[in-house]
Amino acid sequence: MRLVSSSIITTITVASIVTLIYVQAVNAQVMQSASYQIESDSINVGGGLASSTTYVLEDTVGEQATGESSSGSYNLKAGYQQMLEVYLAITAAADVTMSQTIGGVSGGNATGSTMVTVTTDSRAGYQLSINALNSPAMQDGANTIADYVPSGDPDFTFTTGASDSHFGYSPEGSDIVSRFRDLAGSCNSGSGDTADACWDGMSTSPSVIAESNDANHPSGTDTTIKFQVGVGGSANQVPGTYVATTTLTLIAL
Amino acid sequence: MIRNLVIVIMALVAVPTLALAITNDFTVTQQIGSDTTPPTVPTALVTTPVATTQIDLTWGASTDVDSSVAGYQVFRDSVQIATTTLLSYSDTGLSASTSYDYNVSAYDLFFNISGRSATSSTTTLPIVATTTPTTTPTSGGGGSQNELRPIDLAIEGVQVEVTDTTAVISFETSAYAVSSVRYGLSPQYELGSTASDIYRQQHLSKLSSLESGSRYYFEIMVSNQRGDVASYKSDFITQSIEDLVPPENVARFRAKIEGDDVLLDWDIPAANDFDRVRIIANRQFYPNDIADGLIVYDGRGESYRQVGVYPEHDRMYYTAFALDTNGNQSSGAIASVTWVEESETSVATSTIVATSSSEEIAELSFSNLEFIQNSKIRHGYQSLIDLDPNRPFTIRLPYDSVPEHLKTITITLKDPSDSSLTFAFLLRINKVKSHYEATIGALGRQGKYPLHFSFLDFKTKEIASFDGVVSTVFKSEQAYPEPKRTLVEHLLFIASRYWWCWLLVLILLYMAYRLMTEERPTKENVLE
Repeated sequence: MRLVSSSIITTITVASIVTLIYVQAVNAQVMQSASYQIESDSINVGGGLASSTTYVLEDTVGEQATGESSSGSYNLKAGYQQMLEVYLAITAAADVTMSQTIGGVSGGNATGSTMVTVTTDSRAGYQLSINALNSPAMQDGANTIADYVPSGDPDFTFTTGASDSHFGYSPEGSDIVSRFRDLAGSCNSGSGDTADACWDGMSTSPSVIAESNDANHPSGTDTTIKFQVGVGGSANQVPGTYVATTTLTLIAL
Repeated sequence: MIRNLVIVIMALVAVPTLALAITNDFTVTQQIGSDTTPPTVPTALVTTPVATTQIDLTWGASTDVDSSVAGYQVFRDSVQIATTTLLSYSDTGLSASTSYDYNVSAYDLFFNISGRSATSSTTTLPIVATTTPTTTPTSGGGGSQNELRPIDLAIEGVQVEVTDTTAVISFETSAYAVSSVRYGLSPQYELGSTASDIYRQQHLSKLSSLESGSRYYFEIMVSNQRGDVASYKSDFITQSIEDLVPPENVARFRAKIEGDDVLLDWDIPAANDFDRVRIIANRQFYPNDIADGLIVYDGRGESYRQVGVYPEHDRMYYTAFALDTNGNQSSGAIASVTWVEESETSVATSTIVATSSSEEIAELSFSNLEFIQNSKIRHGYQSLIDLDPNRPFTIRLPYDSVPEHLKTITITLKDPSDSSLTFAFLLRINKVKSHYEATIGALGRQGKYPLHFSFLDFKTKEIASFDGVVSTVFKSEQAYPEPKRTLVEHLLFIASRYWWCWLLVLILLYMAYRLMTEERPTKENVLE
């Protein structure tokens, strides 16, 4: 009898510890104060209002999960704590074929773009980065087209000298980072997003192109990435099909 | 119990992970087109027989609409004999009195080849033993018509363009001729020769692998088809690139005791060719060279802490050398520390003890010094030494003025506003062994800087010294007035500079006195 009682007491103790740890560890953001935030809360017995000197907690009684469903126009995560895991999604970026064939000797410019939509319910927002597989990004066997090199901050205008042959990109959208924003013809200043402005070169290291500190679920935010190739009149770029394999990386903050 | 603990651990591990990342790959494709259009056909092909074995060709340039003309193919009797990027070619090794047909085609960067130009035919010159034939050029396709005129072979318009290692000698000859150029470091032209077996009137010979700053002698020799020769001799000096100028010293070099450590700090020179600072430490004397002790710092910083010097050593001497990009080193800024009395000792003057003297050195004074700034030399005997505080300057002492066994000569400047703040420098023999000298960086401030000059024996013992003052005045305020002297000062100044004249005058006066007072011989004395 004493053995059975001891076992029961031990089990209750362990269960209490597990419950307390879970209550503290599972934390989807629903509240915050100046000193901390609570991602989500769950108290399995009862609900109501609790408060301390630094925060107020209104919790609900849990319910059974009913799962996630979606269509082309919505994503539904119904049921108890279905939003506990951060929802993060990005539409597939379409491959880009540049607008025209550039004469290897006569030179010229070609442009192209792709658009992605990022959706997240992370209240801390998201960060979107871009990087190339190779350096330089555009390659055709042993032949390459150099990555665009701006003079410091991104160049407001994509500029191609007579001997240049280069490939650059410019993101556009409401969440692009300040580096690609412009003011009065200068990039990395102001809050403007002038079309076809602020060009940078690709790198094998990820470069942040868009960032938000808020959730945008369910509508999401579009970011368009424009590309441009410029070949100067005396660059004598070797003919061929040049491909830049590019990766967009999206993380929840 | 153990089973329940395992449950706890598993519960911890099962906490959901919130971090999430998605990657999305795509490609960007760009087509670069090729050039398929050939250049235009070369025009105006002209062939000129200039010797029994040579025909020269010239033609007009081609153009290309979508590319660049990369070169030309030269055909003789429908066989390609050469490619060139020029608009001329000399075909050599031909037979005398033989007719040849020539064409030229252009090609672009993608090797699209134009059609061939119109054929131009000409005949090499005949072998003539006694006359001097030459021709005027013939136009393309029209054959050739030789015109005999006398040859007056001469070398004209010789020009030499030199760099530090090369020389290009260009010249013209009054008639088609082959040429050779002999050259050397002496008029024997011992280094060899260059030669061209192509007959031309405009010649060019390039000499390479020359020594910088050296005089080379050369001789041009030309000969024409008939065997007439001409020569021309001259010389040139290659450019000198050797940098022999030592950099200025680091400024405000100080050594400060902090516990058992020594904190060294300094200001790096502003010179463009400054490379780095190397600080050498020695526990017995001031290092005179970068190999004269332990390297405690080598870099471009402006401070360094040498930890744990004390108690292993109770005294340490430091010399900071500034090095330039050509390997020249400054004379050295010096500082020392000792744990014996004071907690901080920044310069040599506070630790030097006079133990002996030298008569030769004892005669030296401030007037023996020379101050050089902006290529102007000022002597210490001038009563006013005004320097621009914004520019470095060099202090030097004639090499012959001190015995050779003296290896350490220091100069110490005191801050005009804080006499306890001193900065010391070594004077080193310059590369031409004319002076002991130190180049000191811009002092930066206007004021009168007390100067102490020390001669150290055994590298730490002062055997002689003298003092002076250097004043700095901003350039706009510098007037460099002539020092005003009284009559007595003038006489003393002249006496100090031209003492030997006074000595000579005294000797002459003494001899005159002796002659006047000496008893003249009389006739009676002579008879006796």
